[in-house]
Amino acid sequence: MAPMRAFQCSDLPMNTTTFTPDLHGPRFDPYSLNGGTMLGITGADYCLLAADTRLCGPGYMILSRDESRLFEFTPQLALAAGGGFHGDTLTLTKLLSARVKSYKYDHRKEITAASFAALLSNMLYQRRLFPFYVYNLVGGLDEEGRGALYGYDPVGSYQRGRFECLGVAQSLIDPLLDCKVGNMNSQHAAIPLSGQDAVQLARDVFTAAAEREINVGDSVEIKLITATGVENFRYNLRND
Amino acid sequence: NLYELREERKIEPATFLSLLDNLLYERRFGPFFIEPIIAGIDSKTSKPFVASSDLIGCPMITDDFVVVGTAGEQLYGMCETVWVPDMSPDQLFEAAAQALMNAVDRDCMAGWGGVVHIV
Repeated sequence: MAPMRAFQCSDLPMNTTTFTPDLHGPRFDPYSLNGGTMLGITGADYCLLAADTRLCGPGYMILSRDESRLFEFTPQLALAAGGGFHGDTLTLTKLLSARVKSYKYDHRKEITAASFAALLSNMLYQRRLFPFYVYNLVGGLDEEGRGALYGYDPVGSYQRGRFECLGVAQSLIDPLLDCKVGNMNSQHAAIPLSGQDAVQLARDVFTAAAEREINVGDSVEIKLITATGVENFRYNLRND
Repeated sequence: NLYELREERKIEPATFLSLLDNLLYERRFGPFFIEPIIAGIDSKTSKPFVASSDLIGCPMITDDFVVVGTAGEQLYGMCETVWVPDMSPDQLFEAAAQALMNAVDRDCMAGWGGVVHIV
């Protein structure tokens, strides 16, 4: 049995299929896995984004209990970015801030959710051969005031959806959202979720995920985007 | 069955777990590729018993639930949410069915319906 060592990105199948290991000796791994789970839920007049605040390090370390993964760009637009390498999260959001400001100066209005979504997709694909290792969720209100949510992969493939979950606890949370928000496998008619109901649901979902996923915990930060602006919530999760 | 013949009583779940785990560990270096779960009711205490094992017989007995399979992580998320202590058989059926159906719908290797046994 191989001795225990910290998990590295080079352990993932995607790297070992394209590079022959050990031909050049030990290589510098440009990525580190910092954890992070995000979810987004939309409704008729709101969009909710939630993310945990635990920053993980290699070898079961906790680097921070209070590192935000939610970023606001306009009063009706926010981004949840994480689930991969935090350095790329910080750089990507820095670049996006600058681009959103430029847009405001050039077009004399705030950027819309659909435009921002397209912008992010292009920015990610420009780095196709050395990607930003970030999973993104863009949440906001569309031109008609309805909730809009766009989910991305690290190289910019995106799609608008009603609800979405990304990150390390994605496989635990996805079926839950299907059941509670998507009303799947259910005999009764769907009950529309209000903004406050969605906040409590997100809180419960993260509490469940924190029980069974080691990288989720500490606290969950929630942003509820409505026509009046962004409301922030924060709930504690287990610290272990 | 051999146990029943020798002991002249039915086997208890906890004993069966031991039996299974020893059987699996005998094949430590050429294992049976299974992930068993055991559910039953202890005849002396009438308490429910759930446990699971890995392919070489490491037992895990829990108070709440056990999950195995390709959709294991999905099942963990669902069960953690729908399980509450002291459910009636009907509530338990509903919880188990919802957990199973929604979890396997998120896994392409699992699905196409499910069977629930209430003991």
